[in-house]
Amino acid sequence: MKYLSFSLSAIATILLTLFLNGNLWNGTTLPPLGKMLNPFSGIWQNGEKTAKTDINIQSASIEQAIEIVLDKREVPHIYANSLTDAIFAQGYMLAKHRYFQMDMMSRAASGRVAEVAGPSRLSFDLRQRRKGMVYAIEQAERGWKKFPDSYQLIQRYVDGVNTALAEFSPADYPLEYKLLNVAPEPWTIKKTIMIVKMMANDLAGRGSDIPATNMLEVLGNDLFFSLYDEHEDTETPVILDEYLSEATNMRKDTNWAAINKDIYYKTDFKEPIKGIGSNNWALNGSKTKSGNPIFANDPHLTLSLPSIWYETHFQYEDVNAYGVTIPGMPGLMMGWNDHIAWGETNVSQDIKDYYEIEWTDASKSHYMLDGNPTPTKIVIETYKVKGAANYIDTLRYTIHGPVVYESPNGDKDLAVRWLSHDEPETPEMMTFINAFAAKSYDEYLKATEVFITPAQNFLAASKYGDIGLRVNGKFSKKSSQDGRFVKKGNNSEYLSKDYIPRDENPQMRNPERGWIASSNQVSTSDKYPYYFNGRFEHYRNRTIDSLLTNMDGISPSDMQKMQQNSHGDKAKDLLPRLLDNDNFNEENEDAVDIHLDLSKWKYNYDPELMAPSYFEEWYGNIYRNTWDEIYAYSDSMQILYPTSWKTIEYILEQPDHTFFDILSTPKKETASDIIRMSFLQMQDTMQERMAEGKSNKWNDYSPMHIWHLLRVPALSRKNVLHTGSGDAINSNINNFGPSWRMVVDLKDKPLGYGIYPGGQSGNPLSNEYDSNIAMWEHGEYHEIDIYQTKDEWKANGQTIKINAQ
Amino acid sequence: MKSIAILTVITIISSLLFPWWIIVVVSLIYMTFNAPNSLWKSIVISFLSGFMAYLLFSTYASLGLDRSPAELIANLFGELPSWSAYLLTALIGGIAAAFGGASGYLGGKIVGNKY
Repeated sequence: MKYLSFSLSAIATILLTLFLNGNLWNGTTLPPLGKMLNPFSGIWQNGEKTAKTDINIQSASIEQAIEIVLDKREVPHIYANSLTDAIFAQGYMLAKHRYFQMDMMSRAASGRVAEVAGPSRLSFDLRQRRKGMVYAIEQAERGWKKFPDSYQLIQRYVDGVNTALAEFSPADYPLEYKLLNVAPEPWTIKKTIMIVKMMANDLAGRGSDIPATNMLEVLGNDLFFSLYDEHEDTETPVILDEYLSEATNMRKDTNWAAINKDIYYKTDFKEPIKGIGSNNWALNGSKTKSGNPIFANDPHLTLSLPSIWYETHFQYEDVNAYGVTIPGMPGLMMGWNDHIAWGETNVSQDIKDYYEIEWTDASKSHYMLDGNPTPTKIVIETYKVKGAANYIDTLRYTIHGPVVYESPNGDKDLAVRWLSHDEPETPEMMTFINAFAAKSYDEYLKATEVFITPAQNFLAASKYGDIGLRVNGKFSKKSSQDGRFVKKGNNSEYLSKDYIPRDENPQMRNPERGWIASSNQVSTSDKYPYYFNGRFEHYRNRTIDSLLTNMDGISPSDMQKMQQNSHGDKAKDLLPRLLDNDNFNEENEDAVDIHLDLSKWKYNYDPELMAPSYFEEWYGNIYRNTWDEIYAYSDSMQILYPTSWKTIEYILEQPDHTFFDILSTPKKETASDIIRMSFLQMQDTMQERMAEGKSNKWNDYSPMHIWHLLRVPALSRKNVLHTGSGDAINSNINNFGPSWRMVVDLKDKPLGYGIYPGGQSGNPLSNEYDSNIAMWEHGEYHEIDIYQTKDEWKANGQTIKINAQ
Repeated sequence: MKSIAILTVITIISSLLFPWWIIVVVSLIYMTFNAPNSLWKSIVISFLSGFMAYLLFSTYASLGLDRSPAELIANLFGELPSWSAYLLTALIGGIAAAFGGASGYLGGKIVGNKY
């Protein structure tokens, strides 16, 4: 009996221990309670004290001693004797502050999230690897190794990360690891490449090949090309016509034989539609109050916690540079130094081409190319899945690239040609390292010419008076419409093989008007000798153009205010016509109030106003009612949504167009009918919201959240103040927005101002996790003087000394 | 009372050196060789010492911090008050130790301890 009692008790104890250790289930629905909540190594140990003691450590990976002073916001000010030591220190600090974020981003890039998050993330991983992300990473690694000096420099960064990682005991692991019940892995150069490729992928999804092909087939050429115009009359391209290359016009006629006219039925394979964009502009002394150039940049990316950006200040040799980088990437992507300020926006050109593969048989072991069966490269990918068996997937590679979509019958499989899959022929990883040491605009141009993809508008201003922008990256030479639709994959002539010479990329320097700006709008007019397509921004750029044209005597604070500008040109274009609609019902009191509110509105998307909510709801209804014939296809295929500017053009200029006729009614509607009907729908929605106790203020109608990477509410910040809209300079939508705002006054000793919605620390139990959000919400900035002394930075801070072993 | 105090101290010291599950092992060993005269007393003593060890150390770990881990832990489980994090932590410690203590008591009988 005593043996039985003991055995039962021992089994129960073991089971309980395993349960509390997270071993009895897949660990994705309930965290390991014992491991996570024990006060000796669980979350209780992640607490931080404001007053931190100084640290002295040794490392064999550095040449000379490094001193890192953390200021009161925990920004590292790195004092080193060489670039390699400075980069080591940046890696060290990023691991200290943001290791979980780096790890998760690298896992996301390479399709390894299910390994830590369980089966629910397997489909995401499958998509990532099918896009050829792993292939792109391996190709990049091969290319990077061809530049041993640069490769070694990146290795120092990796050494820095791993030095910090080695200091972590299980009690020190970032708390997310404790929630997920996994341990951090060592960092590698390959993981840094994963972060680079993740950004390349996020910023390259500006094509619409599949939906465009569908629409071309169902609408026919005439209707398609009138509805999906590539250029609008009011567009303000990044580069002025007078700066365009004088190369022979290469805009050859459309090669219709290459375009695969077909319909691709609904798939889960999609490119991101919107929400990612940025602004930058630079003024020369003729536009500013002080006579010094001013630089401004605000990249709009997913707002997340921890923030996508990390501030760093480098001082080594004669370099004194400050800026931000993405955790996992060495250098400074945006920032300023003693001489220049620099930053980027996304070019938004389409650099992915899709090809339909003609298989020889169902085995897909060969495909037809130039009339010959060509072997497919088969790669077996194994996916580890937490709490479940490994998943095996077969990936196929063709001359065009990986097969990203396999149709049910295998007759419409698509391969993607993406420049990021190519082995880089330049040391691209040096772009954001060399840039921060540039001493003039010419040096900046030289430093950034190694950059390949994703193409960016590289803008810089120097205190010596230069301002300049280059549309920087690698672009294919295309015939007209090339890359806009799915192409036939059975002819090697349809592959893009030639590239635009770098010196013929659109660029502009010191224009007479005194300013340069970009905000993801079209790079050039159609006078540029080479064809390009993409998904371009249409409203922010007009507001920026108008403001900078009309402003003079500009100060840095004017530029800060301009970054907060919430004016929407879409509303300005359309609302007067909507309010003039002849059949507005003046007997309806609510309608009169809404009408009055909208009449007084100055088109600013401010959080306390209700007019932006009324307008956006009204416009959304107009859009859906107008394009009912397009939406009708959405159940069976991906559709290409007409642009807002085209929709408004039809309302203003062709109000009797058949597009306004609603298919499901016998009446022939016009734009006026649609406007009226949409107003009533909007009114109903707003009344329903009120009845549910919801406010119709813009801030409540269109809430903004900053989610933690794991989307755990307790680690996220919900309902942050929503000023602006997708069409405003202050471009905030849902969880996208100005992820870093920077203004630099390029006086003799340049002075910067910056803010991002988060904090330096990735630890939710640190005050510096989200300390900047309130300031960011209210349009405030930190003044950042890179000429402060160590002691001034150190006030309420911490010093970390790393000595060479 | 003395046993509770001794076991609490041993639990805290060993938890600082070993993984979290050492709380189970400590109670098990302690009760194998120092058990009171009934199973229920072993369970109660083990539970209270585990409960106290986790409660005391979670309180200590929260002193002088920027932000309270208790608040965050409580929020992870919903909009709960902060004290619920201390209670949950202490209960986990208590339950883990109680199971270990029970096994130790019953194991002690096998190795010949007479109570």
